[in-house]
This record gives sequence, C-alpha cells and structure tokens, in this order.
Amino acid sequence: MKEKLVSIKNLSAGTKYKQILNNISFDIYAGEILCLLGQSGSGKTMTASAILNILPENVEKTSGRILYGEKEFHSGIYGSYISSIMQNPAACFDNVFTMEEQIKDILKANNKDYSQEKMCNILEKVSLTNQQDILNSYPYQLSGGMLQRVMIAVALSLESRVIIADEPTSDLDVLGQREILDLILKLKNENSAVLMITHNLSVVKHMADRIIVMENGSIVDDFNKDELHNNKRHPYTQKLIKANESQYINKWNISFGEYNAKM
Amino acid sequence: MLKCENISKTYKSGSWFSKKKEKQVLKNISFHLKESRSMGFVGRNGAGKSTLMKILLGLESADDGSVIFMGQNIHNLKYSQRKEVYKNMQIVFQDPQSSMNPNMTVFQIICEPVNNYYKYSIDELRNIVKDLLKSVELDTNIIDKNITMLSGGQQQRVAIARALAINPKVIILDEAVSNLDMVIQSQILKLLEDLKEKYNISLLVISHDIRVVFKLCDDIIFLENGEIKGNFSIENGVDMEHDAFKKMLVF
Repeated sequence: MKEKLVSIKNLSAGTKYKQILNNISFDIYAGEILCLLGQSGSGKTMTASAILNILPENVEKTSGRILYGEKEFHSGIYGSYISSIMQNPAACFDNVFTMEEQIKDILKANNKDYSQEKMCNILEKVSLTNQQDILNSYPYQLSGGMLQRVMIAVALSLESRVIIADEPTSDLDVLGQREILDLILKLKNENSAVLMITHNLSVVKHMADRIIVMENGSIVDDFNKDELHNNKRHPYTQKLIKANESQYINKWNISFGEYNAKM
Repeated sequence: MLKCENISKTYKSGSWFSKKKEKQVLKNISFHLKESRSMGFVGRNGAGKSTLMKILLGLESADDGSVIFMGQNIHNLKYSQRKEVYKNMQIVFQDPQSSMNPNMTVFQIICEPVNNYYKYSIDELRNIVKDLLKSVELDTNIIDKNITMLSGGQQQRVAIARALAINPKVIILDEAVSNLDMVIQSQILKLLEDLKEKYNISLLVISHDIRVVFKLCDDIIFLENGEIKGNFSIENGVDMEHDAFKKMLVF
C-alpha cells in the first residue's frame, strides 16, 4: 500500500452566498501524478488553496478536515512538505528584487544551501542557460516561460513531498507548455507526489497517473489513466473527452492523434 | 481581397543615452487572401504574428512593403477613406475583459461600431443587437446587463457579435479562444465555423494552437522569427514531414 501524503475528508467551503466546494474527499499517494480536471469555475483552484491553507478571506471552510501525513495543518509544512507552482509566475515574484535575492530568501528559509554555485546548479536542472545573467536580472526582464522554469527549479530544489501545480502552463504557447510539462514529469519520483490542476485533457493524457474530475464544486469521477476511455465513465467526463476530440477533427482530414502516436 | 507584399518591420529599443538595439520582427512577408477563404497564421510567442495583425489593421506602419485591401493601399489613405475600408475588417481580441469597456452594457458595446457608420433609432438598434445576440447563441435578456457580469465565454461571444455588427468581409481572430477552457473553446470554434458559412466571411486566424487553425482555415502559414517557414493550402494538403509543421505538433 502506498503512503498517503495528503488526505482530504468531506471538505466543504463557500462564501456567504454560494457553496464552492461540496463534500470533497480524496487522497494523494506518494509516487503519483494526480490531475484535477474540470471547467473554469468548478472549484479546482479552491481545492488547491484549501490544501495550501490560503483560502481567500471571504471563503470559509464549513466542514471537513485535511491531514498532512498523520498531522493536522501547521505552518511547518510549507517548503519541506508542500510547495506550489502557480499559473502566473509574474505575479508570484517581486519586481523590486533580483532573482538572486528572491531565490536566496526561499532557500534560506528552508535551510538549504544558498551559495552562488548551488543556485546556478538549480537553474541548470531546468535547462536554463546563462544562469548568472538570470540571477542578476529582475523578474520583469524575463519571459513567462523562463519565470515558470525558475519557479519549477525552486520547487525542485526544496525537495518537498507534495507539489501543487495550479495550471502551470495555461499562459504559455504550445511548445512552452510541452517543455514545462516534461520538466514536471521529471519531478515525479517514488517519494513525492504532484497534484496537477488543469482544464486541458491533452495535458492530462500526457501527464496523469490518476484523474479526478470536478463539476460545480463536487467530485464526479475518480479513475486511473488507463480507464479513461471506459464506457463506465461519468457522463460529464465523456462530455469533456468529446469536447477534446472535436478539436482534433478538421476538414483537412489530418488526425493529429495518430501522428503523435507514431512519434 | 487582401494582399500583402514584402512586409518588413524593425523595432528599435533603448533610451536616449544607451546604445540603440534593433530587432527585425518581420522579414519579407507576402501572402494573398482570396474572397471567402480563411487563412491562419501559426507560430510561437514572438514569431511576429501580432505585429503582422497590427500592420494589417493600420495600427502600426510597416517599414517596407504594402498592404492592399479591397484594391486600396491602406497606408496611403486619408482618415475618411480609411474608415470606409475598415468597415470591412473587424477584430476579436484575446482578452475580452480588456477589449471592452467595463462601464458599458452589452447593448452599448455592440452598438458602438454600428453608430459609427449608420444612423438608426433606438428601437431599430435594439432589434439589430437582439438578432446579433441570437446569432452568437446568447440569451437576448442579457442585453441590458453590464459586461462584467458575464462569464469569459459569454464575453467572447459578445466580442464576436460586435465584430459581426457591421457585416464585415474579414474578421481577424487574435488568439480569440486561447484564454477559454476546453469545453467553451470547442463551442466557440463551432460557432465561428457556422457563422463563417452563414455570413460568408473570411477569417484571419492567429494562434499558437495548430488545432484551432486547422479547424477554421483553408490556407495556413507557419511563421518563425518573422519569416514564413511553411505555406499550405487545403487543396494540396499538408506535408506531414515538413519541419515547421512538425515543430508545432506537440499534443
């Protein structure tokens, strides 16, 4: 039996006027990439913020609990146990400080080695060249893809058990997306887990070991990757699959799917 | 209908005192968009897609080359002539929230281009807007709602309705669906396909997603670093082993 890293039990949350999460329960096991799939507004990001304990002020947890390993939430989990990769990296870094200062701060706070050499090493792992230049520059001087790589590099260096990736690719072009996804696949190992949040089924097919589908704040489907094209799937999941397939149909009579399989 | 010849564009950067840097974003771009056909531009970020679109719209001037739209070179036009020419070219932007005034209602937004060209009474305008909302598959009772009260997909539909309002011949879609989630994306693509047939308009699709372009277009141009790397049309089919095509095929 695999180790449970995070388990969520009967979680509900909402604002005064609207229920956002309805009785959500699932576990994150070590060594898997778990994908949360759903349309905009289905509560994916709210689930992630609940796990990170950064729910917005007007949203209140009404019931349920989240366990990190055996323990309840405590501030020690950040960094060593959970780290996150966010959708918009430009909003996560401070434009007033250089990358070097910011990366140093993060490493320092987590008792890691923060020497110049080590930092260059970290950046090299995510195939960034000119590491010294990047360290000396300010966040606004780097492109979206580069910043996203820096963020992944930092998450990688913290060696946390659970990494929460909240739509890490939706701001990038398709090639950038593929490169970032391949980097995240590298993060996967026996000891840690990745919780990936996305609305893109192609991304899910590329990455996931297990898939959870959300609709209007509740979980409607939970299955392994090879069961995706199963007839028993929930109607909503089938609707998503259909929407994804319809994008590949065109009057040019090219099926990208077959081509990709050949590659 | 729309013909571009040898367009080049160079951006200069640098302040008064520092060394000037030059970056060529478009190199000798030529293409010809024929009546009732659609054309797509595919490329990575920074390939020059958006600059090309700005030049077509006259928002920026090209350093070299000419853009001929409906028989007229758009860079030599006076303001009044330009207004007549651009009646036939409309655009849908990537981000509906920043391309529409948040203080306006749906009615005001869709009326804007109509009021620029025609004089109608309020009742007539309301009927026109209601018809447009029906054709983009929106409920007509959102007509007096503020634009910020709508969801992203609905806002993009309003933007499409605004582009359709003065019966243009060409609509430019600048990454019009890439901000939307998968299900909404496929709905909007289907809507665009239907509208194309119904109103007989040409689409100029700019996207980094190869699937979107192949779904909507008859001619496809691959751009890389400001140069045309591949040019395919539906009659000749696409060469699956072509370098530019292979590069963009990722999912």
